[in-house]
Amino acid sequence: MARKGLDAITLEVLWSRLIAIAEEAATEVARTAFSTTVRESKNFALVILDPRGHSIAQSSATMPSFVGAIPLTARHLLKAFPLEVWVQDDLVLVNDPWISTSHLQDVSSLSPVFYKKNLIAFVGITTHVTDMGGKLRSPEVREIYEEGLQLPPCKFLNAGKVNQDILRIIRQNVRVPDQVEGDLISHVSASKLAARRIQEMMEEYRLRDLDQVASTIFQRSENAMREAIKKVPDGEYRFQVSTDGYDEPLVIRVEVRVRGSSILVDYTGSSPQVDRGLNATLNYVYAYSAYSLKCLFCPAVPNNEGNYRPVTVSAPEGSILNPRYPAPVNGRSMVGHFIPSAIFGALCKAVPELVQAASGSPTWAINAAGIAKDNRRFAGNFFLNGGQGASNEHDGRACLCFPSNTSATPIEVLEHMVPLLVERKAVIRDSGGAGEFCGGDGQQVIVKSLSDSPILLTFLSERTRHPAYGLFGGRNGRVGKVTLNGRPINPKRQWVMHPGDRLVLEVPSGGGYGDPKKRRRDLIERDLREGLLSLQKARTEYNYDGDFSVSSL
Amino acid sequence: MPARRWVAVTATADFPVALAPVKEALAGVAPVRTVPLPFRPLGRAEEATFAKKLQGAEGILLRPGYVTPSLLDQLPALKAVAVHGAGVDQVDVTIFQRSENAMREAIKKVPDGEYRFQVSTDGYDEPLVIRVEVRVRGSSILVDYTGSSPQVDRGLNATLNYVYAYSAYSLKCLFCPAVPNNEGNYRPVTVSAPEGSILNPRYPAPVNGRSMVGHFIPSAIFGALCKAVPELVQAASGSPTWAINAAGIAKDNRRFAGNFFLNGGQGASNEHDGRACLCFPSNTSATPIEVLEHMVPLLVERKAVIRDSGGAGEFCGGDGQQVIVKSLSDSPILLTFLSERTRHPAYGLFGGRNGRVGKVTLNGRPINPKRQWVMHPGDRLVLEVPSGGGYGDPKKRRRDLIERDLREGLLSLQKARTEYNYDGDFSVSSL
Repeated sequence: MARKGLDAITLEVLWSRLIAIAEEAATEVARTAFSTTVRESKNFALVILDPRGHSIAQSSATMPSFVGAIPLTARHLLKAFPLEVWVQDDLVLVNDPWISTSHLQDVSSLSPVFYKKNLIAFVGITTHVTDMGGKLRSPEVREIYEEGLQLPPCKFLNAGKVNQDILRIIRQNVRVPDQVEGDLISHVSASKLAARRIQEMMEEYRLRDLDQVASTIFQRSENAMREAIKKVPDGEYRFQVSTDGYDEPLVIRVEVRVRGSSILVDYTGSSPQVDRGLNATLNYVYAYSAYSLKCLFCPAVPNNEGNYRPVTVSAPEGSILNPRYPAPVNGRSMVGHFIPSAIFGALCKAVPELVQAASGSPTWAINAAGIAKDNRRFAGNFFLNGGQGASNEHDGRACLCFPSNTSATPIEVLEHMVPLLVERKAVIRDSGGAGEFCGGDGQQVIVKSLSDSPILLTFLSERTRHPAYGLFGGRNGRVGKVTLNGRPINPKRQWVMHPGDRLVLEVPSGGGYGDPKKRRRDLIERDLREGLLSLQKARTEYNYDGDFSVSSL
Repeated sequence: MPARRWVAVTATADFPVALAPVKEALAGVAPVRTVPLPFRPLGRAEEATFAKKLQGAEGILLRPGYVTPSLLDQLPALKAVAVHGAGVDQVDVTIFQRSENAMREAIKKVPDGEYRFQVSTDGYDEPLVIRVEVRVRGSSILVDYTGSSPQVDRGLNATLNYVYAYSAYSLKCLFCPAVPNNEGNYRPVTVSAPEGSILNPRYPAPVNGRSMVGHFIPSAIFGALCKAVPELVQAASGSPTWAINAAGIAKDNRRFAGNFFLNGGQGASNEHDGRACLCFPSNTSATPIEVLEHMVPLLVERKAVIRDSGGAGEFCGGDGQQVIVKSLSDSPILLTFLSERTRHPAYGLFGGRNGRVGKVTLNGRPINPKRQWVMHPGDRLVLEVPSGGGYGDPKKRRRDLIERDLREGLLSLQKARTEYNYDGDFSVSSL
């Protein structure tokens, strides 16, 4: 292109094309990965980056924590592997949480895209593999060494050739080597696909590099983000949320400092790092902080480097939000998923119409491992979501993942992978926080072991003591609970499920938004009709005085 | 024109080398000649003779031959010296055969039969059982662990390689202690353990505490054979080797992690008291206090033999030890242990008494040492490592040995009276 700037139409075409390439390659990841975490729960992300490691385009329906961290990972890897050492069909792997996303099961890769012998882009992928060895994922651990195999940056693919030594080391260290290998190879095939599609685009539009496209995309997105931030009055907005923690509650304290079109998110005052797996590395904290602000201020513009530029994130070293190596980190979502509710809480007075009450997050999960009847080893993570927080004009959705984008693991898949029977999976009536807009309901899941042998069990779970807050008169959500054979258990520990044992999980619900007394009568009656609301709660919380009965409608 | 290069093979009549494969390997490279360099120190004159014979050789294939730097100095053309034979050649065969013969001769003296025994360990939640049948047939022995506990989902499983090693070692100690150990000693021994048991677990069973099972193997085999060869066996020892594993962050922000071994008392045997704090069946040396204190922020406040702890007997079991450790760290220290025999003492033999069981306390409270613990700043840890079992009736113990132990403070007068029927009027000042 001879022109100085890009015209709007060409920009839109190339921008959309790059996003489409990221989407197609992401589909390749989901279609070729072996584990349910990727296949079913979409626990991965793919980002196209410029040669400096800045995000140009990303897959959409994937993990916020991954899309936000991949550029940081890329920049770390470019220090270990500077531009001149890359050749066609290289692929570097890493799962170091201080370089990658935040725990060892998140395996990240970076591979170069060459066009006419020039390195024009990188493809970054992070997938949450089923297993990385170590103790079955539980915050019970004391050091990262217990959490499994740590992969420093290493060339898994050297000019197209798989390093068999690395592959053997990984296979030997994980419980389900075929699944993990399949997931890693999905990085290879998706990277290749993305590279090929980018090369085709270069050819088609006679481009030499992506520099101009990328810088235009960054500038436009940055402008949009800054315009939105400018509307927020300058000031320091503070909030604090508490989590169940392991033995004691943990605190996330945030100060959101708005100055003109820039925002600093500062976590000074948050709990010191703990010697349990409840620490989140700074990459992860950055990703969720940037994501929260993106959701608030600029939800419509595709995400990229430009959206990150106005945002700075800081957390004291040695805190749960910026721990020192070798802190254990496997349950980092049980801290990091609280970040949006902390930021929304801080900004709720400044932008009440944009924020959302707290959700019944973090994403819950059952991690199970053992030996099946056919002597096959199994290990799997099965996700289940609490209720979303309500917002201005919107009820929270029941059982919807926020802030993560993890899909619930279908019952069929769970029962196929592990010898567990799901006896019940149901929305918990009346559980969402009451409000003019009510919080999303949580769910109850009852699972029975069909195995002949013990099953190792750990959980991701939180908000068993600290409910999701409601906003502006909206009520808090319901807290969660885990019982094994009727006895409440501490879900942060590892448990063994014996043949015939029965597990009940009650996943927390979201907070409401606005005064329940203002809730529209037709919505109350809809919920009554659908069985999501009891007449008793309608009377006491919503002052409903109708003479409702199922037969009367 | 330089002389044609060649390679020397230093075979002798005693230790011949099959030349055909060597010649084949070097075909088209260099001719091969035999120079019978003997395997013994050479005198100066002899060395000069061989230097002359080896003159011009570019390579020497040694098997065996006595090559010294002063000999090599005289061979300017020499480029390579290789040692012959990693495989089984005639010399190896001789070593194996001699060792095998010695082992078989000893086994032949044991009456044919099935000898059974069973030992129990503390295990993790519940005791584990090692059941052994030692089947002697002529000059061969089968060690069979059928009936031992099924594998457990805790790190208390020992893979078959380890079980084989300790089984063969136990029999070697019994029957052939003087001959250097090699393949020949293994040949008469077969070891079998049911797949899926603690002594032959299936992957991916956890195995990190395998010594807490495997170190019981000698006591199981000795127990089985104690009637057949009473003069050779040893009462059970205060094994397995104990250890403190500690990890954390030191004051200078340096990470530390270390294993520190400490041993219980050896079991007594015929004519021998067990030694205090001696590692058996492993050969792990105790970690010196200086080394431990240098590596980790722990202070060893006390490390002492536990008086009266060895099992009484005509020959008494080795004493255990008490170790008191205090944390000097500012930050928590992660702590795990290798420990056993906190409920199952080392057995005594032929009237000898059992040893004393071990114990671990943290700040005065007994803890389960199979679990992970955290030692906070200032915390105090006490380990009492078990002692060995005695051998023979304590009433038969020699009076001078009883008095020696009294004198050395290893035996209390009270135990001397009750266990050994000692009726002397001992007091430290009276000796």
